[in-house]
Formats: sequence, C-alpha cells, structure tokens
Amino acid sequence: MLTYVIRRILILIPMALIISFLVYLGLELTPGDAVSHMISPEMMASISAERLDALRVSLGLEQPFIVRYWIWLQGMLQGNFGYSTAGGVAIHAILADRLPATLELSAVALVFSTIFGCVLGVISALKRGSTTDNVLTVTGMLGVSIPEFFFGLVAILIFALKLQWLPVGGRLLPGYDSYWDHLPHVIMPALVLSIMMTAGVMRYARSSMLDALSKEYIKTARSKGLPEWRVNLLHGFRVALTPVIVLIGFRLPVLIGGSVIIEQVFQWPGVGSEFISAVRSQDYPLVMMIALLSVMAVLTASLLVDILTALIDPRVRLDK
Amino acid sequence: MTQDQDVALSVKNLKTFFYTNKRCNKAVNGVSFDIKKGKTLCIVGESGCGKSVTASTIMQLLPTLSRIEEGEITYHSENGDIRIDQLERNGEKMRSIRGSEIAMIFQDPMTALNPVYTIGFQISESLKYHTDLTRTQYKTRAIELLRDMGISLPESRVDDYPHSYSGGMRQRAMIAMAMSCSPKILIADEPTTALDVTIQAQIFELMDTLKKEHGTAIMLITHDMGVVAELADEVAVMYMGNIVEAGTVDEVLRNPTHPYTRALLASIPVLGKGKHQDITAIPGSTPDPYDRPNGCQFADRCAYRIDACDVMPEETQIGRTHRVMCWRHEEVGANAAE
Amino acid sequence: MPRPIRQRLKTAYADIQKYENEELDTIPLYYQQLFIYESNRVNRNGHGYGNEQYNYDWGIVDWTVEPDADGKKVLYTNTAPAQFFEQPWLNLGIWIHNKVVFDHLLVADGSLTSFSPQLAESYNVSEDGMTVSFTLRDGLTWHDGSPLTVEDVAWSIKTAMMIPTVNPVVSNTIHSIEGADAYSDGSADDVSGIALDGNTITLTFAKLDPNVLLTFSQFAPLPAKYFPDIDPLQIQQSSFWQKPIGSGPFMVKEVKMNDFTTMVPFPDYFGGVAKIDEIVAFPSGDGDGNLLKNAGAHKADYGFTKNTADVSALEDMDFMKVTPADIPYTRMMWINHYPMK
Repeated sequence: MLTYVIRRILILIPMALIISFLVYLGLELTPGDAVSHMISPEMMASISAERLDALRVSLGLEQPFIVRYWIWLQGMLQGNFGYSTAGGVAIHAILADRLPATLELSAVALVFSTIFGCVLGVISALKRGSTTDNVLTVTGMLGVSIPEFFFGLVAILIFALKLQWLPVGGRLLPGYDSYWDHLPHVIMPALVLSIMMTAGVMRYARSSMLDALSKEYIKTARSKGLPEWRVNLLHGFRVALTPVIVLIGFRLPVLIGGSVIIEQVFQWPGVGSEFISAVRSQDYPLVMMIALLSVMAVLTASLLVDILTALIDPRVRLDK
Repeated sequence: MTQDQDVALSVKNLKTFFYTNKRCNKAVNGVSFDIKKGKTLCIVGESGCGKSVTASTIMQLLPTLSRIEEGEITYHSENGDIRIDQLERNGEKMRSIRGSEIAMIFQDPMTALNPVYTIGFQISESLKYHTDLTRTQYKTRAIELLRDMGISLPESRVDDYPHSYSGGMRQRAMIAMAMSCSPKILIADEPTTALDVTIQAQIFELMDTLKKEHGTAIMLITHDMGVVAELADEVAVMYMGNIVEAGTVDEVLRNPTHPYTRALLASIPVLGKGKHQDITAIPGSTPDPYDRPNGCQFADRCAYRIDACDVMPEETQIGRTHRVMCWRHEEVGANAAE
Repeated sequence: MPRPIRQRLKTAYADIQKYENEELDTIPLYYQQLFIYESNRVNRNGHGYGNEQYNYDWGIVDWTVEPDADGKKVLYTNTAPAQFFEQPWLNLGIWIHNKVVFDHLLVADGSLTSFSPQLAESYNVSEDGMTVSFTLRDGLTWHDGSPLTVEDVAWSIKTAMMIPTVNPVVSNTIHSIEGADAYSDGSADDVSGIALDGNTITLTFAKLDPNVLLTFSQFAPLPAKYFPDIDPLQIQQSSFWQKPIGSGPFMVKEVKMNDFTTMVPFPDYFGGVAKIDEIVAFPSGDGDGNLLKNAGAHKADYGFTKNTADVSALEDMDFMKVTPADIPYTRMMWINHYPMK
C-alpha cells in the first residue's frame, strides 16, 4: 500500500506539469492579453502601439509563450507563485484570502450533503416504492436538474428579499467581530450548495443501497436472526458505501475550487469567483495557480478515493 | 393432533404466492411434510418448482411482494410448538428462531458471505444475538467451529475475508456460521451447486456428520438425484409448487409411482453402467408459472397423460410414509417395479 | 427647387458619401443615458445630479443618510475593488474611490462644462490658452496628514505621461504640454512645460488643448512619496493600491478585498467634514450584476447604472428613486484601429 501511495504521488508530478502546460496553452490561444483587458477598446484606439508594447514589456508579456511558461514554471518550483498581472498582488496573498471563504462554504456543503444524502438515500432504498421514496426520488431529480443559479436566486428572493430572514449575499460586513455575526451570510449559500449536492449523493446512495440489499448476503444476515437495523446498515449500507465514497471523493476538489456559480450568485468572495475574474482579465499567474491547485485537488482526491476504497473494501488491493 | 416425538418441524398445506403486476404465481401451492430430528429430508425438483421458496417460507425470508396464503408451519421447539407462519416476518420472535433454532445455508457461498467482513466477524454475529458468550469468547468459538468444519489453520483464517477463501472453504464457513448456535434444523438450499464435485462430497460428508453427532434435522434442497440417493432419509419430489411424490428414500427411488419422479430418475446417468446408457430427457419444459394448466401440472409433459389429468389429482397415501399425486400412480408404480 | 440646384446638391452629397467611405474610421453605434439611483434614506440636500461617470460638483460633503438603529449614518453603494483599487486616471469617475477618496485641482458642474477650483485655490488660463496655472490651497494634506504639494501634482502629471492606462482626454491634455514627448520617450529628464513656484504649478502647452480644464477636473494627483523609484508602467502593481491614500472628503478605513470597503470622513478636509458617518461599498464592476438583489435588501443607497432592465426594476421598488442623466458618450465602432497582437 505504501509503495502504491508513493508511486501515485510521483505520478502527480508529470500529470500536473502536462496539465499546467495545457492550461497555459489554452490561455495563450484565447484572443487578447492582460493589457487588452486593462485598457478599454475606446482608449486602446487612441494609444500608440509603442506605448502598449512598453506596458507589455513591463509586465513580461512580450516574451514568447514557451519562455513565459518556463519562467512561470521556474518560479513555481522555487515556491514563488508570482504576482497577479492586473493588480500586482502576491498570488499567495490572494489565495490566502479566498481559500477560507471557499472552504467555509464547500466544507459545510460537503459534510451536509454526505450525511443527509446517505441518510435520505438509505431511507429511500429501504422504503422502495413507498410515498416517501417517491417524494425523495422526485425531489432528488429536481435537485440534480434545477440549475444552481436558479435555485440560488429563488432562495434569495424568498428568504432574503421577501422574508428578510437572511442577507442577500456577501460574506463579511464592516463591524463583524465574531463568527456569529457572519453566520447568517453562510447559511443560504451553504444550504443551496448543500441541497444541490445532497440530491446527487441521495440518488447515488439509493441505487447503491438497493443494489446491496438485493445481494444474497443480506438474506444470509437475516437468516442469522440479526435485527433489521443491523442487516440494513452493517450489511447493506456498509457495502453500499463504497460507490458513495467514490462520488464524494471526487467532489473534494470543490473544497479548493469552490462552486463558481454559487459564489457568483451569492457574491461570495471565494476561489471560484476569483477564478472567473482572473480568466476574464487574462491574469495568467493567477489563473495558472488556481488551475494548478484544482488539478492537484482532483488528483489528490482520486488518490484518496483509492486509499479509502481499499480501506473499506477488503477485496481491493492497491499493490496489484 | 399429536406429533411424533421426533418431528422437528411440520408443514401443512402450505401455500406461498408471489405477486407481480397484479399477476399471481402460486409458487408453493399446498405442500405438507415433516422434518424429523436426526434425519435428512431431501426436496428434489427442477429450477422454479418451489423448493427454494418453501425453504424461504420456513425462514420467513420471502421477498416483499409474496406472502403465505394458507397453511401451517409449526416448529416443535423444546418449549412447545411455535406457529412460524403466524409470526411477524422480521419480528423479534422470528429473529430469535432464525440462526439459533433453524439455520440456513445457501446455494452460492461466493455471494452469501458479506465481502467486507471477516469470516470470524460473520460467525460472531450469530453468537452475539443467540448466545450469552462474551465478546472475547466469540473468537474462540469461531475458531472452534471452523476447525470442526475442517478448515486448516483456523486461528489465522478466522480473521480472513471471504475473498481469500476458496469456494469449498466458504461453504464450510457458511456451515460453521449456520451451526454456530447448534440449531435444531438446518436448511441447506442447494449447498453444493456452485462447488466442484470433489468438494461437494466433502461438504455432504460434513453435513452427514453433523446430523449424526448433533441430531440436527436437515432439509436439503437439491436437483441432483445422486445426492438424494447418497444423503436422504426421506425425499419429497416437487413439481410446480406441489409435492408430487414423497416417501422414504427407498420408497421413492426404488419404487417411483409418479411419472415425474420416474422421468427424473431416467434422466440421470448411473456410474458403472457404461457409455451407452439410455438417458431420457424430460420432454417439453415447465409451464409458465403465471399461466398454469388447470389440472396436473406435469400433464403436458407426461407419457401417462389421460383426460382425467385435466383435474388436479388428489394426494394418495400409498404406504405409511409413501404418498403421490397422480391419477395413474398404480400403473406407474407397476411399471417401475418391472 | 430648381433642377440645376437639385443636381448640384445631389453631386455634392455623392461626393461626401465617397469621401466618407474612403476616410471612415469610426461608426457611431448608439447614444447612452445613465441613471442615478438613490434610496429614500439619502438626501443630497439640494445638490444636483450630473454625469455620474465623471467627477462633478455633487456636494457629497453635505449629503445625509437616515441613521440606522445605532444612530450611525451609513451609505451603502457598490464599485468597491475586488482585488486592488484601480488607479484613478483610467476610468475617471466609475469607482466610488475615484469619487470620494481623490480630489482634483478643479471641480466641474454636472454637465462638465464650467469649472471652479477644488484643490486649487485659484487657476489662471492665459489669453491664448497655451499657459495654465493652478495655485493650491494652503495647508492641504493627504489622508495620512502629510502635506499635498505642487510637487505631488507635477509628479502625477509626469508619471501619467509615461503610461498608456490613462483616459484619452487626460492623456491628450498632458501630452500637449511642452516637452511631454521628449520626457516620455526618454530623451529628456524633465518636462520643460511644467514649472513650480511656491504653491503654484504652471503648465505651458506646445499645442492648444481644448480640454485642459476638463482634464484637471478629473485628473487626481497622487502622493508621490508612496511611489519611490517606481516604473510608471508598473504603477498599478504597487501595494499602494491595496489601501490608497487620497485627498478627498472620505478616506479609506477598512478594506476586505472582494467583501467590502469602508470609507469614513476625512477630518481635515478643506471643504468641511462630511455628514455621512461611513460609506460601505461592495465590490462590483461598472455594471453591477447584484444591484437588484442588494437594492432589494436595502444595501444600495446610491449608485448609477446604464442597464435599463435594472432601472425599471429599481423604479418598481418604492424606496428607490431613479434620476436619468444625459452623458456625452457615444459608443463607436472603430475600424482598423487596433494594433494586431
């Protein structure tokens, strides 16, 4: 197992390299550059090409693509994440600012959706065909099919604008001393994100649970005279858990990348909304850093999923 | 009604129906038999004849859309008779019988053991609910059971997961699990179908030993007449939800009086008779369980068919223990004796 | 109309068309209005409305806001920064900090046509328009308390000459100053057209620029000492823009990038201390996608928008008031103007 983990971690390096190069290439292929974003088209028309080039030189944008990539990569390897092209802010500072915001939302959503998704999915499977199951299934379908932004806007309309129970968005306001001041801001985006994610987990848990319950060992467990809860949870759910863990594992990157749409709708200053603006302004170093973080998060999550499945399913052996 | 002292469980006119899309499958349609202490009752029949359903009905392990329509299942426990058919399916009383009084082993040990728990854990689950043993004693008992079942190095094997067991070892482990609480009745639903022939013999030997040593009543479900000849004390032949013929193993095998029993026996090659045996397959196939013939279920495939077969034949007691459901059993019996 | 005249007109029209087709480099697309919205908590106390995209005499010092439960007069608005404060020479009046944190030498009226002194105590334009001088008020200070001097003004003008990210009107004006080109291409160490004398800065122009006064009603001087040895091209990348120091009626108090920015009255402001206790600005760009949500939640007391859909929704809220303003702003389609990348 240890050799496997080490090998997997070593694979991360070339993967990250390749993906970072592809992202850089993708940025390069989009029209315009950081300078064309800084200056509006009207103004661009009255500025001489020499002045624009001077600005490009000062931002290091005049170098050929490969050279810029190489410079960026060198910086990365030395632990220097670089500075945002647009505002010159150190990227680690930007991320240090944004990551907690994103984590706050997505951690809540991840925990919430895991617990409720599993519980509801199991209930749904155990009461298969009942009204409860039908209601949950329909709700789950709605949950996975309604776009996040719509759900978010409706929530804002009802709870913030009509009922005025919760703020419309944002994360911090002046004069917030404690976490409690800020808690009302977390509730709605976290719940909306949670409910959307819960729907997926629930549907997954239900079908996985149904699959497990149809297995012969469930009958064996009953034939031993075990109580139903033990049959369903220890024998049914324990086995059904493996695919659910995989699903949840692959959602871990949300912790880093954030939910772009939810962050936009709720004016949440997280990594997701930062990424959008960075892409818009072609802020290479910032885009690259966030992309790289997300890539690492995805790769790490898949490694974690592998390790977790090996831990919970004795049939899985990682060394082979 | 008095019962023989040695009857462990008696089934009277049991009917179990399955319901699908408003259609009804009379999977078990009025069967009666006794399971006797220290004896093996073999239930023989083709796939779909209702033999497994009968076993599941006794254990109350039926799927949701099925129920006992009629009949009685009486377990003659040391503390008096218990009407299993009247118990709540997964209720406390039923659960206290399962595993401890009546245990069951299944056809495919590959799927019947939970892959994510160790063999030891799965054995100790039974112990936990049916014995007063302490947590530490579970393991000792599990090792003991595995050793009794002929598993080598049980001390280390007890902590292994099912996937590291071979098929035969898994079935031994299943039996160990079933025998863990010394049940009075062991129901074995085709326990060797999924195993190699050599392993089969070992498993049956093991079951035979258990029967002799513990006086366990065994209900063995099989489709293999060879197994019947080897192990059975009594035989019940099932066809489409009915026991068409039942009796002691001698009665049924030596003097089959139902055409289906005869046909089954004729379709088995016998060792020692050489290459050119006259093996006859049973013509036709079993009818659609949702669209059964009115009379004798076997009529369409039967060489002895007469018009009377359009009416379901009565069960006829042709000996103290031998009974048959056929209008022409006398002729069939006479032919068999030739 | 007599036939020969009609014929001549026709020919002339055709000639004009031909000329236009050959020389055309821009096509006007549409004309825009902007809309200033205010909640009923805000009172301008008599000050008028103007071209909100620029800086004008709007009297923010006199504005009042209904106090909240704690008795604090807080004005909520948008256009706060998400990552850094944009330097104020590019989008002159778009950002709230352009409007309240930075003052200018002059102040324009709402239509940006007549001007009066702001940081300048007085100004003088020569008869031929080629020399313009500004005399600063006495005792002006930056928000950090250090004096605001003509050197700061001169440094700001010279720095703006070096960078492309300056509004074209401003850029035209300062490049019309004598010696500007020599300075910006590096052949001269100083700008010959800028002269300092005590509290007075005098600009001599090489070519006549009609927008000098407009420019200096929008061009915000910056405190030079915060930019030692800076490459002008990298001015936006300076850490100064994380919490800028200005000279206007409000100073930046707290910045939570992407969360909010608060601004409080500058106690030493020459025009008196502002009556609003605090301005809270939420991050947004020129067009604020969250405007309606925030307005509905009473978190948008003032701002402006060009989005007509937002305007009609705002008008439906009985606590919001929308005032249209004409802006001399035309969207053009430019032809063959962009240098190929």
